[in-house]
Amino acid sequence: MTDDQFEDALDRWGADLNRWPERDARKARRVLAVSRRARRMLTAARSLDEQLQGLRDHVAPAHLESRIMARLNTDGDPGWALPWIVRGRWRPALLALAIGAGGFLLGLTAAAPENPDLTEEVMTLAFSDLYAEVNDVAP
Amino acid sequence: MAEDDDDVLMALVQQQRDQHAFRRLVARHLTGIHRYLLRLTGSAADADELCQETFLKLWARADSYRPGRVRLGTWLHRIAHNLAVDELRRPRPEGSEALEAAPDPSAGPEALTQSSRTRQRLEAALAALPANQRSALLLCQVQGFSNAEAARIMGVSVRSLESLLARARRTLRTRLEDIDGSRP
Repeated sequence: MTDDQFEDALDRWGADLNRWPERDARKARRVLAVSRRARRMLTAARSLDEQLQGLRDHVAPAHLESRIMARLNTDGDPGWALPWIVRGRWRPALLALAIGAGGFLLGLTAAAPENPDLTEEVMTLAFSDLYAEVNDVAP
Repeated sequence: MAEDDDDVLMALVQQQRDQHAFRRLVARHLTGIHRYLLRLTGSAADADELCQETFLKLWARADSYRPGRVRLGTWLHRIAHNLAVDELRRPRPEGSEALEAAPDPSAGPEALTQSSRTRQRLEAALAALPANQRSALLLCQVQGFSNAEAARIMGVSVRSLESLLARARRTLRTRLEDIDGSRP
């Protein structure tokens, strides 16, 4: 492993060699034993990682927990639906029946009729000659 | 398995809709999730709102949690991450950049200690990273996840995550050096 490869690995896995893949950590230790530049890079990487870990010092606002619990009871509980449908033995069948019935009703109201009312068109064709004769126009 | 183990409490939530067990899970994971959301969005108001949404989703989707396949903390972070990414994608009104958690490092009063100045510089440099790089770095260095867990939370391959981490660390190092170099 060269110094540059060591730097690239530091950027990928951080300064804690215990988090590195074992084989790469072994190579890194060999580089560190002989390269001052690699040791400087490790020190800088450790400093950055420690600064980042300093951001762990944080406490969530005190009101959040009670606000979540309040919303649990006021926003409704959509979580009931899935287990209700899945767990009962007869519920999937009931759900399928309800979906089928809904589809049937939708079909009745929305689909175009198979035999539309053609009365007006038939009458027009049947009596077009008579209409022409009475009104003295070409059929 | 201890009686207050995450998976035991989740089983109570799944089977009995036990609000007491749920409250214990909220108390346990609230600070971690809030810290991640605050650093990722840079906005305390967004972090508060998304934090609440995360736990409400945990309650609503408790049945889809499978103990043993993934730790609850990882699962919660994935929910929080997805909510934050959606929020960050939303167009924001001009001038409302969500950087309130990262004050200007050069504007600190003299009374600031060296350590708080260092922290402000770091927060500003972190906030300026692209969101996916910031997320990768936060998950691994601040939240303490392994690279594999962080990749799972972000929904990317481990190789992609490591590439994000490498770019994030390089950029952060350069920015911190620039800030140090520009100080009188």
